Amino acid sequence: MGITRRSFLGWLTGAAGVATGAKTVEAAHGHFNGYPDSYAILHDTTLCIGCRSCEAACNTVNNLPKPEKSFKDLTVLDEKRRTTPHAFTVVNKYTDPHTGKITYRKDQCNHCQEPACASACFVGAFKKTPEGSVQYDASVCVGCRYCQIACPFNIPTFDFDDAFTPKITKCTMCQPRIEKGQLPGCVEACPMEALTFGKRSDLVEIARERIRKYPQRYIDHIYGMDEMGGTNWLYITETPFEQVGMRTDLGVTPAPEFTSGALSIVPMIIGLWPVLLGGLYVINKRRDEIDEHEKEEAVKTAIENANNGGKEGRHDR
Amino acid sequence: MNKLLRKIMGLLPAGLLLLFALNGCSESTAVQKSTRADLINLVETAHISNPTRNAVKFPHDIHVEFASKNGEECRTCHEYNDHGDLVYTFKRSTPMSEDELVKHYHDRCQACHTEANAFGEYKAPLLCGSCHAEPRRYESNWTPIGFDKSLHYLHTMVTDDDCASCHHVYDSVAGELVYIEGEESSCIICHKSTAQNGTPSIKSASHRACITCHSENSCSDCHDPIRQAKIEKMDDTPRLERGQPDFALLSAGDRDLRRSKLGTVPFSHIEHEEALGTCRTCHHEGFEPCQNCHTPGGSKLAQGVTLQQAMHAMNSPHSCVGCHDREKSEPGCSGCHGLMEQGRLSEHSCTICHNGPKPSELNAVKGRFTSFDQFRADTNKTRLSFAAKEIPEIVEVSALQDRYQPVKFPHKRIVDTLMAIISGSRIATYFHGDEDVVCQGCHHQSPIGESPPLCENCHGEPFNPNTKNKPGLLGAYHRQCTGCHEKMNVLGRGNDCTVCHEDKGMQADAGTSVERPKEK
Repeated sequence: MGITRRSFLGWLTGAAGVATGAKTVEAAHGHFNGYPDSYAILHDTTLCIGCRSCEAACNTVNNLPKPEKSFKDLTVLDEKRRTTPHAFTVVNKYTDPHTGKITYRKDQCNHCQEPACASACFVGAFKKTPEGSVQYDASVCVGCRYCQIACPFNIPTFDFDDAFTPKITKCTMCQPRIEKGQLPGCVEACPMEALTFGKRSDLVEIARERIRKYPQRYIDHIYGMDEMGGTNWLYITETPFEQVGMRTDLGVTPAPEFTSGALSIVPMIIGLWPVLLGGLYVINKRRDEIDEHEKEEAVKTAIENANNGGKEGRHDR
Repeated sequence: MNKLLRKIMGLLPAGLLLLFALNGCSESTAVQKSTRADLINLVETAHISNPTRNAVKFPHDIHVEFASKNGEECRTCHEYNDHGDLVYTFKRSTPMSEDELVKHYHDRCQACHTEANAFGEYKAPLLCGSCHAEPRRYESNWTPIGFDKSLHYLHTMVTDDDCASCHHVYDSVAGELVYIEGEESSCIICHKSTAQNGTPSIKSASHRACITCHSENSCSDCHDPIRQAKIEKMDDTPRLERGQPDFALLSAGDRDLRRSKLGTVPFSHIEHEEALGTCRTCHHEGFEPCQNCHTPGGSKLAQGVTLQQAMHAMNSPHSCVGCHDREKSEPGCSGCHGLMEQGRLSEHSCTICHNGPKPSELNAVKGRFTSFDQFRADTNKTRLSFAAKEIPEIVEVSALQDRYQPVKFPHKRIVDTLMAIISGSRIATYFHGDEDVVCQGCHHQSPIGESPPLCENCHGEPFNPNTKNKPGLLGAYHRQCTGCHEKMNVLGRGNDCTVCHEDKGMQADAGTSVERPKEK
């Protein structure tokens, strides 16, 4: 008899279960710890004075249009801003409601070790470079803006003003400057060295040393060490992170790990599609064959009956 | 029937809309909460069997006000024990089971509230959620009240120096409280946070002691921080005499006299009394010598805190080093000290305090040292190894010039300011007594003296992987200047570069290199 419908479906579910199970285990073991020797930037908010030198430098090195208000105008700090197509980085001011203490924090792409934007992009427009930055390739971008939705830090922006060749924009960590051996624009401009550039592993050491030396000045945590699987932009602060507009609900699982389990089944389903359709075809064909066979039998019996009796020919179906 | 059902279904969305609207209204007209110091958290009223109900936050003063207006007394809500003392629980002096408690409170509260509503003057709540909820209109600002030297002096004036009106010890033989002269101490030495072996808790004991005289006062008279601030402050208070010395040479005690190689610590008891205002900052558990509990090896009684830790623990408000370290966070001190590594003492730190004769020499020098000033090199003076005119007036910082002119740094003015702050404080003059130690606030990690090395001798290009936490020259200058200014509250957290730097005027504003076409 070969394959029955029931047994075929049974195999299918079993195979799918084994495949997903194996994949989950693999995903749990396959955590990526970042490229060794990748560069990163440490932002120490206790040193930041909110002078906006980094914003000005970012504007210059990226050839961005001149803003409406000068970078020397510090009144812009009075309202909360986010990154725009023309400002890859912004500094925001946070006032402690109880003590009145002011903290400034610079916001820009955090250059995740396993970027959510890259995992959401179905044309592969985002790439994590061994230097540590997350690069965007406008030539393949289709403008779906999934990356904007995927980013937990609300960073990528879309050039809505540009009707014909809109692009996603975000901080590049000054990849071209890094390749030339220069410092990122913002880091070079910071008068307080509130931004430290270096190997990520060195920065972690520096941050830990500062927390050890000044236990009363810092919260004992390096933000970006493990958040979203780790980022190449690290932060240490005196104020609780949520008070300076940083999300503390992100967990330590990198974004791609949330989707890799489900997405890994996709190729398998594509592979199984011919088997499934083939099986259905076999079942249908077999049923038709049986029907045909029965029909022939019936016709044969009817003819025989007719030949034998003639007058009392009967339909036995 | 079907018609009716259809009508109801038709009206349902409108009803829901109305509900949402009402809900929105109630949120937007949220009551501005006022603060009260009399909200007593009746923890026993949190229903254990129905945990959705909160414990009642009982506004005591409102109830007292109502009761006294209507001729009631404390007795209406509280019972008296066999000694004739008021019991602070609500109308009960014996423990009760949960079921009994529920009935006890509900019966009595509701009965009185129903009666009060009949008067019409007050609207006493009767629904579950009105009492078993976070108060909608009130927020607690209850603050503990401490008995400082000033408040103590005010009380001694009223009681005509009759210490026995408050101070007592328990005579276990006679089974009564007696006053013994010279044995006065802080309440918390005997009365702990909970009642122990028949000794009432500090809460119970202090209320009993205070209310005996202050029978007319309400909770907020003592526990409202605004009213606390209004209590008269006596500046010139007499010393609290209890037979204590003015000056002592502190050592680890007789047991280790011969062994200890480190000098004793000359300690001015009288100056610490003046500075602290209370005894319990140091004598936190009693007036016996520290080493009775804090033995050199650590004892169970002191929860393993050794004598060394008791004196040097950085995180304790009772230890010498911990308390002195806190002093450094004062604005006058933190300009220099806030930038220094926290919580670590260098090997040079020991002799700053341990500069008295060795314990083994104590017998020989007995009676020779009677005052702390005998150990100061020069009272009330911070010493410099050079004359005032040798201190540079203005230092021009011109190492880095990009967008701004060099900074004219008012060196002499800063030295003078720091010297003035130090000489205004006894503790600062003592600890900055060594020559030129004040210079090290800025000229750190380099030889003390007339010609310190330049900043750029150590601070060069930033982010050198070999010297990881050493800032570059740009960072070093800015961190030193703005860090100190911020901590000393001078010019705030300067984010305006032109406060110190004169603009060069060229290319001052970045972002001018490329002009994009203007958007329509």
